[in-house]
Amino acid sequence: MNRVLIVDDLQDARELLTELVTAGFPQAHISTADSVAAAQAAIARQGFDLALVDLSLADGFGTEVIALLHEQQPDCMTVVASIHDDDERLFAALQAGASGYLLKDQPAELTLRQLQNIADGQPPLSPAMARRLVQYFQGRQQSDVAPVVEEALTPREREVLGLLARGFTLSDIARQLEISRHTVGDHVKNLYRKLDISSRAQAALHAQRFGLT
Amino acid sequence: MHWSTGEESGRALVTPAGRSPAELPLVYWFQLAYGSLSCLIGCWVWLLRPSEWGARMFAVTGSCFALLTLGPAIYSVRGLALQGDLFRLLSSLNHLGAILFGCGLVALMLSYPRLLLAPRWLALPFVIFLPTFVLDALRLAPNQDWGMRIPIMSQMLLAIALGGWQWRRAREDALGRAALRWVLLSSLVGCGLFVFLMVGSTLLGSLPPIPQGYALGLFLVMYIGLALGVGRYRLFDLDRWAYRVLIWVAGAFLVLLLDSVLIAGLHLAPDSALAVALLASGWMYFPLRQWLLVRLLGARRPLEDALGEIVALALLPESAARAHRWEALLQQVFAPANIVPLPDPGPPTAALLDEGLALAVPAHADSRALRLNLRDSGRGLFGPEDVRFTDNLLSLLRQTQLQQAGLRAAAQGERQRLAQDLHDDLGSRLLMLIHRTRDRELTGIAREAMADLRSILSAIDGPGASLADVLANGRAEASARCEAAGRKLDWQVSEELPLHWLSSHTRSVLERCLRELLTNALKHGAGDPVAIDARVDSAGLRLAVTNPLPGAEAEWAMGRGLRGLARRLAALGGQLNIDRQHPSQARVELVLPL
Repeated sequence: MNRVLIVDDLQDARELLTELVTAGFPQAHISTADSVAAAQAAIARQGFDLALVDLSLADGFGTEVIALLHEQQPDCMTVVASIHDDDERLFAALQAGASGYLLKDQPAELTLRQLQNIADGQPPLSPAMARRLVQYFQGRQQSDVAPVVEEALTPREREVLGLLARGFTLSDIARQLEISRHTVGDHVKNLYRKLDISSRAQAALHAQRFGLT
Repeated sequence: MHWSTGEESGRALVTPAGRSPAELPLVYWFQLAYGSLSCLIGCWVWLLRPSEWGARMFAVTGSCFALLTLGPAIYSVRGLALQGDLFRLLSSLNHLGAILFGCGLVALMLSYPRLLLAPRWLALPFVIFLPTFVLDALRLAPNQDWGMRIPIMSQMLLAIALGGWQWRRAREDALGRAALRWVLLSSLVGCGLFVFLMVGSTLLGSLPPIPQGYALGLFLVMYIGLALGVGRYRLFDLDRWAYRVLIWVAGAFLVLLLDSVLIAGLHLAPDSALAVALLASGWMYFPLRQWLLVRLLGARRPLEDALGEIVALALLPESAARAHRWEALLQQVFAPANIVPLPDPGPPTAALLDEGLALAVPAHADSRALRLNLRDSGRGLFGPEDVRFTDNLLSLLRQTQLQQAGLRAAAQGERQRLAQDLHDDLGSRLLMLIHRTRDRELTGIAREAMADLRSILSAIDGPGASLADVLANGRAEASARCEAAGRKLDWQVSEELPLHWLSSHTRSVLERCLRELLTNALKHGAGDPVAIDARVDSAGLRLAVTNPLPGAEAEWAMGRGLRGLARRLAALGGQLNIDRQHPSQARVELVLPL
C-alpha cells in the first residue's frame, strides 16, 4: 500500500482519512482529491494501490471515480468510505468495481482492521447489501441473459449469502457451517468477484446490443 | 232503406244527418288512435334504422295495422246503416290491411332478429296471401272462413313457426335470446289475445262479447312492447336515445291534435285555435315530455356529482383507499350487478363488452382495469354515453393525480434536500467529534448520534422495510458492537417471524430503540451474555434486552434515553416495560404494535 488516493469533498474528512492511513501504512505516499475532476486528473498522473472514495462529491458521484479506477488501474484496491449506509448507492459502487466499503465514523482501529481485511480479500458485507446481492443473482438467473458460468453462485456461497442477509457475522457463519472464518471470508470475496464479473458481462452485453463493440 | 226483422219487412225513407266530431262515439277515436300509434312506432323504428330488413318489416306491420283499423273505425260506429258500396270498400280495406299485416308479421319473423333467408324471400308471404285477398274481395271465396279466417290463421301459425326457427338460431347467443323472447312475447301475445278473444266471444260464446273496436287495441301490446324493448334490450340496435325522437314526434302530433280538436270542437277561428293549441301544448307537452324523459331515460347521476367525488378520491393519501373509492364511485354511477378485475393490461380507453352487457374500464395508477357487469343491476345496457362518461371521469382523475404526483415529488425533493443538508453538515461535524475527541464516552455518544442520524435519514427519504430485515440489520449491528466491547451476544430471535412491513418511521424508531437498549446494556451491565430475544404475539412485536447486573447496582431508573424511547413508542401505540424482579439482571422489553 505505497500509493494511496483519498477522494472526499470535505477538508476535515480528507485529513481524518489521511491520518488513519498514515497510522496504518506509515510509509505510504498519499494523494488527495476533493472532486471527481481532481480524482480523474490524479488517476491520469499516476498509479495507485489503494483508493478511499466518498460517494457524494461536489461535482458528481464517487461511483464514476471507482469505475474509472477499475478500468484503468484494475490492480488498485478501491474502497468506499462513506457516512451513508444507503444500500442503493453502495450496491452501485460495488457493481462499479469497489472491493469493499467502510463507514467513516467507525473507530480507527476497526477501520484499519477492515482495510486490512479488504486487502486480505475479506471485505465486509452488511445484511442489507447481502439481500441486494441475493435479489441480484436471483434476477440474473431468471433473466434471458445466458448466465456466464463463473458468475453462477455455488450452493455454499448461496448459503453464506443467505446467513449474511439474516444478520449473521462471519464468525457466526463459520460456527453455523462448521468451517473456518477464513473460508467464510473467501466465500464473501468470491461473491464480490462474481458481482463484478457479472456486471462487467452485463455491460459488455449492453455494449454489444447497442453496437458499441 | 230496406229493412227486415224476419217476420216483417218494409221500406223507409231515411235522410242522413251530419254528425259533428264531438258526437262520434269513443270507440271511433280509439281505433284511430291504435292505428296512429302503431304507424308512429313502426315508422319510428324504420326511420332510425332505414336499411334493416327487420325494421322495414316492422314498419310494414305498423302501417298495415293502421289500414286495418281505418275501415272498422267508420263502419263500426255507423248510426243505423251505411251505404252498401262504402261498406264494401271499407270492409275490403280492412281485409287488405289484415292480410298485409299478417304478411308483414311473417316477413318480420323471417328477418328479425336475423335474416333467415335472402331478402327477396320476404316478398313470399305477400305473393302467397295477396291472391286470397283478391279472391275474397271479388267474392270468389266460398265463405268468410276461406276468404279471411283461414289465411289469417295460417299467417299466425307461420309466424309462430318462424319465431321457433329464430329461437333455434339464437341458441348460442343469450342476449339475442332475451331480446327475441321479448319480441315474440309482445307480438304473439298481442295478436294471439285478439284472436283468442274474438274467436272465444263470437264462435264459442263462452266469453262476453267485446266490441271489435276495443279488442283491436290488444294489437298495441305488440307495438308498445317492442317500443319498450328498444330501451331494455336495444332492439333493432336502438337505445334509450331513440325515445327522444319518439317523444319529439309525439309532441308534434300533440300540437296538431289539439289544434284540430279546438277547431272542430270549440269552433274557434283557425288563427286563434293555433295560438291556443300552441299554448296548451306548451303547458301540457313540456311537463309531460320532461316526465316521460325522466321515466324512460331514468334519473341518472349527473356528471357534476361525480366531479366532486373524483377530486376527493384523487386526494386520498393511500393507494388502496383510492382504489376502493374508485370502485365505489363506479358502483354509484352505473349501479352494475358486480365489478370484477380484467386481466392486464386492460383496454386503453373505456369500451363496451358483449354488446353493452358489460363496460370495460381502463386501469389507472391505483386500480387494475375493471369489468362492470350489467348496468343498473341488469335493467339496462351500457351505451356509448357511458363510455364517454367513463373516459371523461378517468381523464379528470389522471389530471388530478398528475398534479398530486407533482406536489408529492416536490415534497420528496424538499425532503431529500433536507436529508442532504443533514448528512453534509451534521454528519461531517459528528464525524469530527467522533475522531477528534479523546473522551471515550463522548466518542460513544457521538457515534450513536451518527447511527441515529442514519436511521433518521432513511426515515426521511428511504422506503420502509420488513420486520425480518430490520431485525437482521439489528443483529449485525449488535454483533459488531458487542464484539468491539468485548462482550458476548446471545441473539434469540425466532427465525419464524410473521411477515410484516414497517413504515420508514416505525423502522427508524425500532432501530433507535434497539440501539439505545444495547447501549444501556453495554454501559450498565457487566458479565455475559447480553441476551436479545424477540417474538410476535397479539400485542405486536416484543423485543427484550437482558443483561446481568453487577450486584451493587440494583437501583436504576429510567434515564433520559429510555424516556425518549418510551415517548416514541407510545406515539406508535407501544410501550417500554422494565423488569427488575430478578435482582441480578436487568430486562427491558419494548412492545411495538404491528
